[in-house]
Amino acid sequence: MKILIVDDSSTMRRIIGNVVMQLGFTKDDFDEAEDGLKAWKELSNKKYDVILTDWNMPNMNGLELVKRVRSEGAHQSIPIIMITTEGGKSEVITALKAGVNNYIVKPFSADILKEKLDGVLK
Amino acid sequence: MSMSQEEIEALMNGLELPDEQKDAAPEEELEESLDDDVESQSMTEEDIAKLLSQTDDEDELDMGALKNSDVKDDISEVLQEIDNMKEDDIASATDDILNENDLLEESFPSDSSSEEEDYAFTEKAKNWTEKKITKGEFPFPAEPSTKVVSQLNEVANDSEEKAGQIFDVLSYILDDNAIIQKSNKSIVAFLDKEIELLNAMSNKFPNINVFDERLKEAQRMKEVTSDIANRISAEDMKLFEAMELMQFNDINRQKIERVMSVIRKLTTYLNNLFEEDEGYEEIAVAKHIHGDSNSDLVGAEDLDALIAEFSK
Repeated sequence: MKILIVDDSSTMRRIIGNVVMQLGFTKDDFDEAEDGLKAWKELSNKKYDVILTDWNMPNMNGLELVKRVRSEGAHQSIPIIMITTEGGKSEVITALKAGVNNYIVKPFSADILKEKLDGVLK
Repeated sequence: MSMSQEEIEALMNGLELPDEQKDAAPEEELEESLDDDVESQSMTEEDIAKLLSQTDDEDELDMGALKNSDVKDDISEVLQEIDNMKEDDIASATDDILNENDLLEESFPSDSSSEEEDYAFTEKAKNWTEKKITKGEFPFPAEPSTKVVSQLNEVANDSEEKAGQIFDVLSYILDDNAIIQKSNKSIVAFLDKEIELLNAMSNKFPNINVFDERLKEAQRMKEVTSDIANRISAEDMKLFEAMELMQFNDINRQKIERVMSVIRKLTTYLNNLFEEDEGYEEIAVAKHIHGDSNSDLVGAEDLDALIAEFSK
């Protein structure tokens, strides 16, 4: 099981990583990327089972990453969870239309992530 | 009867011309006669020598006057007075000179007092300007410490850096707790064996109280280890909670970035207004952030409903 965590905030990446570890995963089970462009490079080099991505990031934002993943490359059917501060209905709909499987609004708890992660991995 | 110019000049030169000759004489003849008259009045060698001898006599008289003047006597007298002056006289004379200097200093202040006055004036001006700025009558000066966007950017970056450091500390405590839990498990395993042994010994030798006492002590120690494990678990949960709360650093950073974006757009507008063209990199900003007073925010139930709808 390999998870890709994408967030421009190093603190958020660590928080998500920590939550993931609380769920029983180890440090080797996940990689980090600070924007969509770097995430895309990671996806081109390795095989991942799930993507946890932020929305607002420099260079390539989360929405652009989702659209790109869904349209090209080897991860077109990979489960994607968007973890973002964007809490508006219109944004959620936009993200779901773009192809995210689940959506988490920051701040979130470990239980929420576990629940959503379990949901997409089923 | 008025006189002509020629008549006046002739009179001045001491010529007495008859009226008829004066009237008839042409200008040229008159000039020639004047020249002859001047030549006739020129000094002889004897006159010159006499004049020179008079001048020499006058020089000798002047030099003698200088040599014998009161000046020489005055200087000699002053020098002699100085030589004969007593110490008290010198002190009083020095005081007089110093008093004169004091008066001069009062009239023309020294450099140090001028610097003090400059400093006092600068302080006064500074206080006055600060009061005006506080009242909102004057704008803040555009200094690096008051440039809004750069300051906000610095705050966001510093917060991110410090949040990372706090996370390091929390992670360290978590890792340490994991080590303590591991050691605690080893102690529990040892105590379990001890309890098993002491239990067997106590059952086999019920009359020997020491086995029973040691068994009870081991059971009490096991309870202590259990308490330690529970406390560490609770501490870990609190640490996870603190880590979760640190999400607000990211949320607040995004709020700051949203404000920065507004200010940058305002700057662009003002630059356009003043025909200045400066490009900047647009930062993606969140529209609806947790804590906003916005009716369009999605709730947990709405979110689940939306996801369920799109999952069909």
